[in-house]
Amino acid sequence: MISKIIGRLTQTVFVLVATSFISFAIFSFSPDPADSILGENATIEDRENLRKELGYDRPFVVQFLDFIGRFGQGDFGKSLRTNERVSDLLIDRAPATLELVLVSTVVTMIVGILLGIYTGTHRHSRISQFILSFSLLGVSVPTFLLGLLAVFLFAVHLDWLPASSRAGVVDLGFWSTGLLTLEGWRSLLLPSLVHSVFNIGLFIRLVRADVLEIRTSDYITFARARGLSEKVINYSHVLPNSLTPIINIGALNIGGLIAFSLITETVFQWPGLGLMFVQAIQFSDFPIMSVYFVLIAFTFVFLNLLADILVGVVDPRIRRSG
Amino acid sequence: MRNYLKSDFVFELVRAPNALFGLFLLLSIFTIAILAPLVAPQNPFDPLQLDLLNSRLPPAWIEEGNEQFLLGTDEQGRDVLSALFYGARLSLLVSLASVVFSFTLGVCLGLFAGYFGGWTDKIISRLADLQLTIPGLLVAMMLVGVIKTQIPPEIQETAMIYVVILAIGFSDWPKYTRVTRSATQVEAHEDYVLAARTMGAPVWLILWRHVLPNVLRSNIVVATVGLGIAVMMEATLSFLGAGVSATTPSLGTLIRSGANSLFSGEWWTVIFPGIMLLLTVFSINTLGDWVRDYLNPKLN
Repeated sequence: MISKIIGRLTQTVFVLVATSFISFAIFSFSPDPADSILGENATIEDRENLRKELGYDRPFVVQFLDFIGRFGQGDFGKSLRTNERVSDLLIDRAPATLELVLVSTVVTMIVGILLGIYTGTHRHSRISQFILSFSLLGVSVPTFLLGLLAVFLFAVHLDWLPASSRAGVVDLGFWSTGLLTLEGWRSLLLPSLVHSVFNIGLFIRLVRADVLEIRTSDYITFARARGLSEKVINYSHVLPNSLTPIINIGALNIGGLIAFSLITETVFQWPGLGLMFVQAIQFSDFPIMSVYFVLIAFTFVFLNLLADILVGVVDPRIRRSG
Repeated sequence: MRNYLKSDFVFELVRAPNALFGLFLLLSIFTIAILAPLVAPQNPFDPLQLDLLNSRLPPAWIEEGNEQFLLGTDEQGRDVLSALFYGARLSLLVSLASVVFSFTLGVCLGLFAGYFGGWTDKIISRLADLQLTIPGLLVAMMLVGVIKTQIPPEIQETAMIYVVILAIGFSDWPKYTRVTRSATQVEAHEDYVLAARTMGAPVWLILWRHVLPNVLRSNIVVATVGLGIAVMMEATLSFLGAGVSATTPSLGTLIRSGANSLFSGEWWTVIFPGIMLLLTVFSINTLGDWVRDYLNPKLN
């Protein structure tokens, strides 16, 4: 058990260091930002001063250690485009993304788990076939296309919901929330539903596959042989055993919802972290790119770790092995 | 060919209407894509054939439509149908090339990791794990974002196509590596490999002639799924403005430029490229589902 934990932690640390390094490499191999900031009339002296000010004249390793040090203190540098502090931008943008992700996660989990278990236990029913075609459609339709269609149908054509981005935001000082006003919910509805569709489709298929696999195992056959009803088998044998894979899939799902929010945010012009990243790519704003990269990588690592711990909590077999 | 028609593969395929339909659809799309310069009514690259007087026309069956432009025109007077054919051509080309790239890279690394084991295995597996932590789209976007700045603007339009191929290809190799590695570990201890080694065959020959053919089967499944992902990824990248340059018609750039006029009610510039994209991804996925079941009869 202890060796397993140590192994897992080493791996985590490796991923964290490696992604920081990649992020730093992106940051430092980028073209000389002095050109884009200073413009054409700058003198060589101006350029040298700016390079010194930005710290680009120091050796590579020193810059990397400095980079990690500053990272630890929450200092991510300044945007090359707007010259704002990246940490301020992050704090400013995070609530929009996190609220979108939160609502989508709740929708995905509830719909995905219920339908996944249903299609797994009622394999040959008409409704299952229908749900499965829907889920295939859900994973086949690219999110950005679905978003555009939804905007066209519900905002332009039917005019039911606003096509404008985040609205009805209340500033709580440390957090600006759109969850307190009706207007805020109205603007959140379409993006969060569009954001959930792909993951619901994926979730249904993965949960179904796990349920199907569990149902072929020996203890289920034995339960049937004991004459237990399908209901008892489903609720007290299949369901508890499908929890482990569901936790793992769920963790990946939340990660996906955070990372891929950049697509939904671009379609709806939702002012979150993802939109910030997409714009940073277009304008070669390297500090923002590298911070976003590390942020997403760390999120995935953290979620995986959390899933491992949760799985250990619900499944005693995993605690005992190793 | 006759033997091939009698094979299990064809036997099973003919009896799976979904898969057959997917295959038919995919082949039609490929035909259109390959023949685009011959069958398209207009060359969307040629400014001489564009006329601003013909801009923003709706599809032909709507009153203001013009029979000359079956699916309408965009704001530059470009025929949507022709742009669609050319767009599908580029999207498929980029996706196929990127799958070939990640297939080659992933399988090679997987063979090395599985056959040599030890440190080679450790390093390759760790790199694969590392990359699997981060979503492929993000990896591809970062690569495009970084490489883009290193390319002189004069050649950017052409070069971006290769950059996107590279970026999508590089974002998907770990899947092939994982599959190949575990299959290779099994094969490496089989008698025929030992026999080949005893006879003094060089490593590359053993890997190429003996191990590779036996690990291809599981990689085909990964590649079919990978093609669907690549098509979707190309479109997404181009839509986000992190793909091929805006003047190159791919399904993604067409949708991106069409999205601007969506609010004024010109739905045809988005819907038709969108349908084309959907049909492509859907046919590949349907076929992929079937291939997976076919190569894994245990699941049935």
